[in-house]
Amino acid sequence: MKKCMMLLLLTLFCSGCFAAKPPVWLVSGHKYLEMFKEDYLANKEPATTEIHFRKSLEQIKNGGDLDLLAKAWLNRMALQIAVLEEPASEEYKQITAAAPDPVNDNFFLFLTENSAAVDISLLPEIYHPFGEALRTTNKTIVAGAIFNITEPLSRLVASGLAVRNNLYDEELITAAVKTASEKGWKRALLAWLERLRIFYATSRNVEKAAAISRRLELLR
Amino acid sequence: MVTSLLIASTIGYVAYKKGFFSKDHIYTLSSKTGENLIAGMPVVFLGFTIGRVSALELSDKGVVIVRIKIPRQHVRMIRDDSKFILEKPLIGTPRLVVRTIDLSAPPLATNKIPEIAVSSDINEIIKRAEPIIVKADYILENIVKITTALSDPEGGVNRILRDAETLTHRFSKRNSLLEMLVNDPESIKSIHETLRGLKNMAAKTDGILQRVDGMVGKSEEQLYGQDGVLPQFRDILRDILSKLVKLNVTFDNINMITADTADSSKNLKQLRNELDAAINSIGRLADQIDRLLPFKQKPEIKLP
Repeated sequence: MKKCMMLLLLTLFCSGCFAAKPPVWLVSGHKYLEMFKEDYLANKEPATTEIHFRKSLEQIKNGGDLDLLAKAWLNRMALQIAVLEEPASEEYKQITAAAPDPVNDNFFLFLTENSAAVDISLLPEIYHPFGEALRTTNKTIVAGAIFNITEPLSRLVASGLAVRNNLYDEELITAAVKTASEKGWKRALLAWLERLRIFYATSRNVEKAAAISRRLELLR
Repeated sequence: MVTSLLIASTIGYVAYKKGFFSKDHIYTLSSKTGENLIAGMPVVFLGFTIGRVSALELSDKGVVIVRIKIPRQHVRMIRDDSKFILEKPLIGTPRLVVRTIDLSAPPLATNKIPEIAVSSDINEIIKRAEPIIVKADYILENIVKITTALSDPEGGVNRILRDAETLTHRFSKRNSLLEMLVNDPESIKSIHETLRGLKNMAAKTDGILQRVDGMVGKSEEQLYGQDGVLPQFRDILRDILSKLVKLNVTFDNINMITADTADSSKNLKQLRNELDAAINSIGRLADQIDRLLPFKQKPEIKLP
């Protein structure tokens, strides 16, 4: 009995020690996607940034996982929203036409469509309160939900969605500027500063708008 | 009556032989940590249990005071030169091992508090496998050398990177590019050297990594941990990779500009192949390190 127990323990120990290493394509795909995200937000040279994304797609394709391929494109779209650009959705649509996935499709809706169509329970957990807040169409509630998001990128994505839904105020934009600044994400910083400048200009706060313009000139 | 007497005397005899009536000697030991120490833990000498840990307490000085109870018949094993080692086997419960070289040495004074050394099977295996350790040290030294070289602004690797950056900068200006392609063979040579340098470095580190691969599970936090040498080295490789990819883009641009100059494009094609090889080699190396790191979480591509 004792020997059996020892054998069992040894088997468990060894299985722990020699747990399967993740496949190369997944490691590489993940690595290049992270490099792409970092470079994109930091406003690195576009050609280099694109190479990282392309390489990530190549690696994911090596594994043949369309779900991950779709997720890579959704990551790209989310980044575009985080820097207040229009998300390019064509590639994602092609993938989902071949292999629809409810979670991915729901996130796509979340990024591109009206919040009413989104199933909040299928969203990543970090967005649940924000998803609920969007439905209230109350700027203060939306801003509160965004400030509670702990992940900087997710916070910027949510802020971008709030802007797309016209549910933002000065405080929300300033918080997004702060997030981008803290992380050193220059592209996001410039985009949100520009949004702040427009906000001040349209609310006839000429002095503040001019100050932001000067700041932008120095940073560009 | 006789039966009862016989039973009682048998129990008494067994208890006597087991040392039930013998006086216990208490010795005090100290340990920097109470981890794996428990009251009742056996005290073992040459594989025989000669006593037990009777109590543990935390002293005012922040060390753990360990009291061991040794029956009188085994006290002779505890001498002044005895070493107390907490052994943590891979499987089974920890035990306190007494090692006494000279049994004729004076007995351990009761007011003396020896410190418990800690040993684990993994460490023992490593200690015994001296050649492996020598190799490990060599590997570690090499990795440290490489990282030092990388972090040294005047080091060879940084010189290579600086060269690469200078070249990228020069490539970005069309005039100097044409000058480079047509009139300045030295510059082309310089690119070759740069790429060769990077490739050599990748080949060298690849070799190191193969040897490190054989040590997975036996190494320490220093090598694999979050701030260990390998993760740092991996990050440096990624940085190099980014720089090389940048150079790659520049090559693409050059190819577009010089498509009509046959000789130049021939050279560039060769350079481009070398650059691709360097990128692939360094990229693979970074991936290998990622796969080696046992503390690293499994990579996951998820929604942002």
